[in-house]
Amino acid sequence: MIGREDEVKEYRTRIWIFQVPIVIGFFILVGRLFFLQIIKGNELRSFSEANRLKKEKVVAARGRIYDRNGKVIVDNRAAFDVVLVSQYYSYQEDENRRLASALKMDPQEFERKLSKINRGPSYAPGLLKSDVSKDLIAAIETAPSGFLGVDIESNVQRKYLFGEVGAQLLGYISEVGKKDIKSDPKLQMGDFIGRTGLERFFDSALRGQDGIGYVEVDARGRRRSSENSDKILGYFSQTEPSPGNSLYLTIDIDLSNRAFQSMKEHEFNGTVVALDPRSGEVLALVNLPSYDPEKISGREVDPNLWSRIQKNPDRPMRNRAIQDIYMPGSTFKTIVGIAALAEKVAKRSTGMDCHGFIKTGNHKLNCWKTHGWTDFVKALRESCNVYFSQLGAQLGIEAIANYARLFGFGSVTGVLPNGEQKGLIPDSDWKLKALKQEWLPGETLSAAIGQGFVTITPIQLVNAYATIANEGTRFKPFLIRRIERPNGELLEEFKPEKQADIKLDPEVWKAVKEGLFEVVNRPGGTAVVSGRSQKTIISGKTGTAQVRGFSDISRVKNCMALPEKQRHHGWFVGYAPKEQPEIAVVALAEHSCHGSSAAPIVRDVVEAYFDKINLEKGIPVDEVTKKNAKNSGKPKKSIQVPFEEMDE
Amino acid sequence: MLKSDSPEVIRSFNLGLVISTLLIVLTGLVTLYSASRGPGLQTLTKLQAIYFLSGCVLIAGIVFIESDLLKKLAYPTYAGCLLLLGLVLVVGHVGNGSQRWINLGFFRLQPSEFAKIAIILALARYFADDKTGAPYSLKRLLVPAMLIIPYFLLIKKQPDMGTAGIVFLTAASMILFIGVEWKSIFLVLVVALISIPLAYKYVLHDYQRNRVKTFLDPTSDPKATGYNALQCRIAVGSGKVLGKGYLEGTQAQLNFIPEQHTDFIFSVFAEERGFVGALFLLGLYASYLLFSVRAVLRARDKFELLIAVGLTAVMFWHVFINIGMVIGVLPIVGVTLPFFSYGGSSMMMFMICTALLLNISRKRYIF
Repeated sequence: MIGREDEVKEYRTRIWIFQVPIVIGFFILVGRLFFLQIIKGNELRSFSEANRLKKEKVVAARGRIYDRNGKVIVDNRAAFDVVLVSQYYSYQEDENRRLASALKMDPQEFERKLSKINRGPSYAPGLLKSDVSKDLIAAIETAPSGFLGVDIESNVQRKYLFGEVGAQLLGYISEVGKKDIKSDPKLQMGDFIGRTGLERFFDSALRGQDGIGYVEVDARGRRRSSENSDKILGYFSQTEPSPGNSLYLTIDIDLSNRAFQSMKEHEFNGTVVALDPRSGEVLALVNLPSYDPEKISGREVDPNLWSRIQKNPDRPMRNRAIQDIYMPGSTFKTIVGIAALAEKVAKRSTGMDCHGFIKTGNHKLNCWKTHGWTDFVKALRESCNVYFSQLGAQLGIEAIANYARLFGFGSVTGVLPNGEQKGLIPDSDWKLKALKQEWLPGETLSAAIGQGFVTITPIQLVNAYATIANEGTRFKPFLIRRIERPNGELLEEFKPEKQADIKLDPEVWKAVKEGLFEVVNRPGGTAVVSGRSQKTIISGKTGTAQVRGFSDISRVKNCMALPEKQRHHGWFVGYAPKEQPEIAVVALAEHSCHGSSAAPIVRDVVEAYFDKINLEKGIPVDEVTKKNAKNSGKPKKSIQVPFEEMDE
Repeated sequence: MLKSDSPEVIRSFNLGLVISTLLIVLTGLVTLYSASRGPGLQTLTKLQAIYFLSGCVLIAGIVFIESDLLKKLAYPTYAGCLLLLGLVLVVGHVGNGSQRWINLGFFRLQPSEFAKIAIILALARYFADDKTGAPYSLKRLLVPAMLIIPYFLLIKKQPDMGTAGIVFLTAASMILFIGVEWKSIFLVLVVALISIPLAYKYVLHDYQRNRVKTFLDPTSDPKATGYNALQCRIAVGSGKVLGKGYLEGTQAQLNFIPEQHTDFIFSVFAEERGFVGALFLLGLYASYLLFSVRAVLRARDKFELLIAVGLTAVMFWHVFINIGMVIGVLPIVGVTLPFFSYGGSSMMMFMICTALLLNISRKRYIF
């Protein structure tokens, strides 16, 4: 045993050396405690006092959008997102698999999101899956042994009740990015702003004022449940959030829906706009193809869906009615006709012999058929190119342009604050400036039948016909009737705004209106089969807009033989009823070749409008049909289908 | 040298160690009560007390175990623990992102806690048997290294960097105590300096790297990765001199501190008891270490001496690393505060430590 004593003897002295690091270690700890508790004590105490209540933004609900009858079009609903707080999540292989399957997520997508969250700040909740179902929430919350670091956040999701109908007008919202915050410092991460349409133009009215709340939170930044503690203050807000204001539109969503469905049934892309000629209120405005704004207004947008929308060559996000320009084609003849009558270049009785073409110098312009002897009303009814280019030649381009401008062409209507196209009403000054060329007489012939340089927007066209329906009073088309505070208090009201009053001899209006009436209601009219209604009397005009870049007039006859994207667009624009018109509608059916293709859509919208009004008045539909059938002359069956109508 | 009179035997019981232990346990239970008032935690104090009392009965035998038997048990204990460490990776219970526990139904056993004692016993046995003597060259440390490495790797795999680190530091402390050639120490230091950046890049997990980053530069993003560290510092500092008072620590009571009943319990204590309380607790640990050094001095042979050194080292590293990380002098790793942090395995481990130290203190002069 003494040997063993020797064995440990030398180490006994060594132990004293080994106490040195222990003493140093304790000194470090005491020194640090002294620093934190004595030197920094006051500062850290005040930190800890501020710590109990976490300042939080209380999101204000975005304002609702209603239609003219008080029907909700755009609303909000509760949505639940699954988020992950990095610092409490294990990032273990098993846990990943378990969580991905609980969330019913594709493993690759899950991995992608997980690594994105992992790269972000570890305390901040990162979005794993947005807008999940209640069943999925239940599955997550009741999972055996739970998911550490996984949390459910409640959120507000914008809800577009009519989906694709009017999507381009209403617009969509999305979360702000760094760029948005830079341009508007009042914005914070997590805010949503309107990106297009009314959501964008009325963003500040709709957005409302977020409140500031304090919430008692735990170390994980999570709200403490109010059970289990008497000390809990729970959630309270210092400044209440004030919800956004409500927009009441001039739009009738049922009418818009009908316009949209009608276009869809006829399988056309394009646009339909309906106005009340008595006020300029826009009753319907739809574009096709469309998209569902709800699907791109959430916290998370399916990138595949987004790129499908963006890359679609038919541009579903485009508000064709105001953002796109087209040639007016024959719909422009009405304006030229009015100019000719007003300037006394022609009278209602002025006759001309149509040989099927007209020549000016070496410029030859074909008529789509040989009309023979043609007066003013017949020329409108049967859309004679020769007649109106003759009138145009006599008027000269300056006079045509002046009248076109009177009807609102060549400048924005002001229906939306910006984003609207002006189109082009050419004259010799314009050509000299823009193309550095003299105006050629042949170009006047083209312009007079709505071809060549003339371009317009659908909303300009319908507003011009509403002006004709009104016999000269042109209103500014508008979309918003009033803006109300959330408590119903009126904030702003929009009244009809007269833009022009075109004073003409009543006989001019009478002749033009008679022509437009006959287009739809008399044999030989270009829309007599396609546009005529049994329920009311529609007056209007067909037109064919050549697709820019493919305007070889000699191919018109073979339009349907062209590749689809090179076919002409069909126009129909008109109003109803014949006396004291209440509604003006334009339909543009892209690549449909014929104006008569668009006429049934206008008829559907007009009929839907009167059906609704008669329903409100309590008049049975049958009676209306009978009454109008008598008024408009012969019943539809007896009307011969002129093949010309199909070939205009 | 024969002094078998009874007063000497009683004195050698190392009463100081027992009293230090009891005071730390009591302070710990009182603190745990304050730290576990959150939902679902209220029973923890009672459970911890039960762990302690049942531990007293279970370990009583260790105090009186014969040194020779302990020596015989050293390697089997090592092997058994190795087996459990392997087993835990296969059938272990997963919690808080790692696989550390074996579920026994009534108790979740954490083998890595007991691994710390097993490695001490095994190394003590090895060096006691090796008669060639110190100082050791690197080549001659190959066998001890073969004992340490499997433990280190298996625990790291769970992952539990804290415990793996404790195992490594304890073993290293014992080896340094035994004596290593200066040349070898220098060589190891050079290799370590080179490999640390590489280990940081390739061995550590992302969350571990974040902890190191936060530690090195806590002001870089106080609300991001440094959230826990910052909240702990606020808790400790806001205690000032006398503390906010028992059960009055807002940081603790409002759950600003995660894992406040386990790894971060010192922040609760320091918040409510202030600098004075913290000094008191550090004093208790210091006195525990002082009495465990006394056990070293009373060791009868090299085996016992090395055990006592290993146990002293385990205790010191636990206290230093745990408090160090809470108050921000070390990065955050999962290391418990002896007798304070809630957890049956941890409690049991430190009670075995104390029992072994008492055993070694007891036997001097008695043949």
